[in-house]
Amino acid sequence: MLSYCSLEYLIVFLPAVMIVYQVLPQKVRRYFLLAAGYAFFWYISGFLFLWNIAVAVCVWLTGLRLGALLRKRDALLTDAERSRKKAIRTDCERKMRLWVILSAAVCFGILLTLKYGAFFTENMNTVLRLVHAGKQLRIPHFLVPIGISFYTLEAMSYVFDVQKEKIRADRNFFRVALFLNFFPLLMEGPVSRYGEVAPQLWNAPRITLYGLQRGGFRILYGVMKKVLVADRVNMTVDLLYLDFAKYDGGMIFLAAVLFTVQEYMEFSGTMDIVIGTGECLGITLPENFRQPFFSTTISEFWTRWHISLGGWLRDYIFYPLSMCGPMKKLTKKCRKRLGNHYGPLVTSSIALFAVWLFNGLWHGVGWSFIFFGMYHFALIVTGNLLQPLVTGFCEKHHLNRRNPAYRAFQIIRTFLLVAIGEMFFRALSLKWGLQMFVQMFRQASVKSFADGTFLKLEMDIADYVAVAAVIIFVLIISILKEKGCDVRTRLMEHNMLVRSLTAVLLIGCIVLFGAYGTGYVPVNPIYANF
Amino acid sequence: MRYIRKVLPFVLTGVLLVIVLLALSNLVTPKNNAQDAGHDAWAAYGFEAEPEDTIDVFIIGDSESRTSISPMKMFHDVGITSYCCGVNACNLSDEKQMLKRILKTQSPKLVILEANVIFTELDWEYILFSDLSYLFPVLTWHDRWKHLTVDDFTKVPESTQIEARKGYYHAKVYNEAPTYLKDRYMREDDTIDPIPPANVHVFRQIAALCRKNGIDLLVLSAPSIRNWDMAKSNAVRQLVADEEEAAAKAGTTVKYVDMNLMTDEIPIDWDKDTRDEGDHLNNSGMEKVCNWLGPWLKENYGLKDHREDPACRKTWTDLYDDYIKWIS
Repeated sequence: MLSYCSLEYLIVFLPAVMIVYQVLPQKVRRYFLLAAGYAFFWYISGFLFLWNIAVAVCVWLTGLRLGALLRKRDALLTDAERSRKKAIRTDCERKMRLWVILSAAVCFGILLTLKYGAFFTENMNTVLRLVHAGKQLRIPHFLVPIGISFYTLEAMSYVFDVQKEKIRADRNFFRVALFLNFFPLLMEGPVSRYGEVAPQLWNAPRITLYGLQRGGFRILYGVMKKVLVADRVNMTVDLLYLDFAKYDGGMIFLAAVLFTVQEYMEFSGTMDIVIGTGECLGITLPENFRQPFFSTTISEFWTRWHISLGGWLRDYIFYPLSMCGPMKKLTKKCRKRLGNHYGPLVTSSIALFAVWLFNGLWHGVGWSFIFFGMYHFALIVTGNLLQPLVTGFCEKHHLNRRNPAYRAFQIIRTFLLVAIGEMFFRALSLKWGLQMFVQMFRQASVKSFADGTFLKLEMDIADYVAVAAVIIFVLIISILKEKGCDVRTRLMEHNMLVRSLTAVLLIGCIVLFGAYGTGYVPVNPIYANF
Repeated sequence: MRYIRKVLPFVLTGVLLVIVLLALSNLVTPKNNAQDAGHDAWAAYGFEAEPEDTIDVFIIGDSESRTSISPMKMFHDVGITSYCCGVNACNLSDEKQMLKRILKTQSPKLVILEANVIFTELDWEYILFSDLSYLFPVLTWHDRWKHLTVDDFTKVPESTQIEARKGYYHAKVYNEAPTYLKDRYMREDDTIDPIPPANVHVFRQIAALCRKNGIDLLVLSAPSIRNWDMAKSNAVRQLVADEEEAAAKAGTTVKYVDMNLMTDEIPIDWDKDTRDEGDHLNNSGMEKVCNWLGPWLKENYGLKDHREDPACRKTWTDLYDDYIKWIS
């Protein structure tokens, strides 16, 4: 089972799980879901699922400890004199912080060791070479469990939420384990929160005909995105990124755009399958995309792309950092000196730096990913800095910023900036990414399009037409959604024959026009390695 | 009634889906077994143009099978009719589907499975895909949507291209095998090369298919200094031994012959008899294999001599000269 798009998942594992799930009594279903999650994990990562259990045990125990501290605090507060209350609260917070740090050290320690151990050691060796230390460290090679970055963030969000008293610590280990091991969430998220997903999972509702059909349509939509577009452009993207030196700027631009499209279709397609699976089982999972390419700024883009990660970073890094005591003091000072716009910008930029450093590192092991994070950090900070200037300029020249043409300009500009960022993200190294960027401008030319070179890179004109057709289809659905019209909801209002015909038409298109079988190499789940 | 209302959408969707997939399969399947009709493994599928029930032996496997055995030579020498359905770089699952296709038009007495294909690693996903492709050929041929012509909408599939080489892939050139391969070739070794579970599963399906249809199965390792060793030989011997009892109960046989151990009977010269440094045989290597294999098959499996059979004149006797032209 290489992906949620595989036949093994779609026509064996998922239907088998749904059938057994439905026939079991409600109280047994939750344990069956847990077992199905471990079976899924084991099938992909073997005994590495034990790391998942270790993390679950760690955060469950931390949660219990935090819960006990909170109960003790509440008991003390009831009887305490007013003057003592603050001291009791502070003491409780201090103790809780210690437990949270311990828990984070274990969970992130596992993540850092397994995923980043080799990267850090390589860089340590570079430093040792530079200082002529004469000694090199042995580079460790660990097997990394699938989706470790996703469930580690989910696990820590549980601990943070208990600490902040957003949720109560759960005494039931199986409920925590199920939250961290629900099979559709294992590979590529979305990074879910305990409060919104765990109760639903534990409730294990019956599968309904409506949910099954609605979820089924979502799954088909996701498979279509992945098999018709992401897999079709895969070999061309591979070729362009591997042999970029052979091509002119136009082709490098094509590589950047194709990869951006591929990544969106693969990741959002997988999210459609994941969320659709949840809907089939009667469980509502958080959305991870909201028409990201309609964004007018990079900041907005990150509120529409990988929403669950953005939310995690906002709630557990950005807010705690920008709201901590020293930062509040700094904001106050800066506000006095730099004014109401630029003053708070200093502290928010410091917090943003931490967010984007984490974001870059989370996305992958290597300097190109750190650069990717810093690239977006720079774009957002620049946007914030220029905002008063742009507003002033527009007002001075009576430019209407709500004008559709201006909005189109902003959308295209944002897309291009994102595509350039994705080029660094996809390049085999930071050095190659920088070389591609320079070459794109230094050898700017459309000759490869004029002489047909672009049609000799594993994709012929029919392939481009197929990709364009699906992009237009997805665009129409996205525009309708942006306007508040959910196509699936409308479809579900039609009679059974229309729904069946639509499903068959979608499957027919996937089967006929899909990029699978001989001559194609499907794209590996891009985010599954994170 | 409530139950019917719940199940009906799925039944309706399922029925419509099967109809659409069959219609699409009919549309995109090449309308002929010829190369220019869109068949990529046209030589292997040439058996579909042979008259029904005229081929006694089918050879399945990967490129090792189609470069080691020439059906036309065996016909000319001993009169047995055979066809080589090996496909380059294929796997066991592909060959299982090939065998199913063979059984639609032919009733062979013997199936020869070239053993190298047993080690081409399979995964369960591919097996599933391959089984579905057999039911709905659109899964195999879907990419032909780019090249559809009017014929694809109007004609029904037919097989008209009769192959003189009967699936054999000829080569006169020789490139000698390197010394290091000669030094280690079939060196004594008690180890057993592991066969992936999915491969074992499909091998058993092939064996079961043969038993069910009363066909003897011969697993054969064609000479290959680059691909074969004792550990593989031991593994296949064990695999075949596990099937012997079931075959005997069904009144059939399953045997294993490793030509790599038969240096006296099949004296392959690894300087002259290989086209590509010990990977595959060339024409002279094939001749040595067939000189032994043809008579041995006829004797051990009681195969009929078809050289005087009028049913075979057009597709065998008359094509021998064409075959000689090809391989000369």
